[in-house]
Amino acid sequence: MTWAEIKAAYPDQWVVIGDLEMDPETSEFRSGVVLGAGKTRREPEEQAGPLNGETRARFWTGQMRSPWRLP
Amino acid sequence: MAATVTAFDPSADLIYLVAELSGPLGAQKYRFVLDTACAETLITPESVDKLGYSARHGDSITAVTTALDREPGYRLRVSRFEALGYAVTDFRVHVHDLPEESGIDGLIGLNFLRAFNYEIRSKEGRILVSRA
Repeated sequence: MTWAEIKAAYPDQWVVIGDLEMDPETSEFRSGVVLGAGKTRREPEEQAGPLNGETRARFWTGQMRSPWRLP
Repeated sequence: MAATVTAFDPSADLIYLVAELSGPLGAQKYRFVLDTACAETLITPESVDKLGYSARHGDSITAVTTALDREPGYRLRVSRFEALGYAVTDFRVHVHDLPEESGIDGLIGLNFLRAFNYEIRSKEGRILVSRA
């Protein structure tokens, strides 16, 4: 799935992705296979299981924002 | 020496980049924010746990003071950290929680950046990096 397809299928979720294809120029994600999805960082990791030496990615599909916002 | 070029979204509120961490169990890519106001690179506990690290691998207890609180964490050396087209080994990070809703897993701080010369072209959405 492409990033646009993943965002549409798993809105506002953390996703763990395997079989990665990255853009060599921008280092941005191009496509891959979703191995897990959930509302917390840990949920998709539990679904995806151990790394076993491979390289995966975990990204948030929603809007990113500063962690230091003032109340 | 030729510089590597990394693109970012110039319309975003922060500079979001993909970085890769490696540990005993493998490697994983995460979304980071480039933060030149951060002395040391910071990463969430969930991210290092996945790679086979835990607090017992840490070498010291740390704390980050935010506008709201003082939050505990620990300092850890990861086997490899790659961002902006460059990889470093035996790299020290601060492990601290970040809000789930931020959508990021860490901050790339000056302890990584100071090994390089870099130019942030904000209007163009490009970062040029070369070995210092």
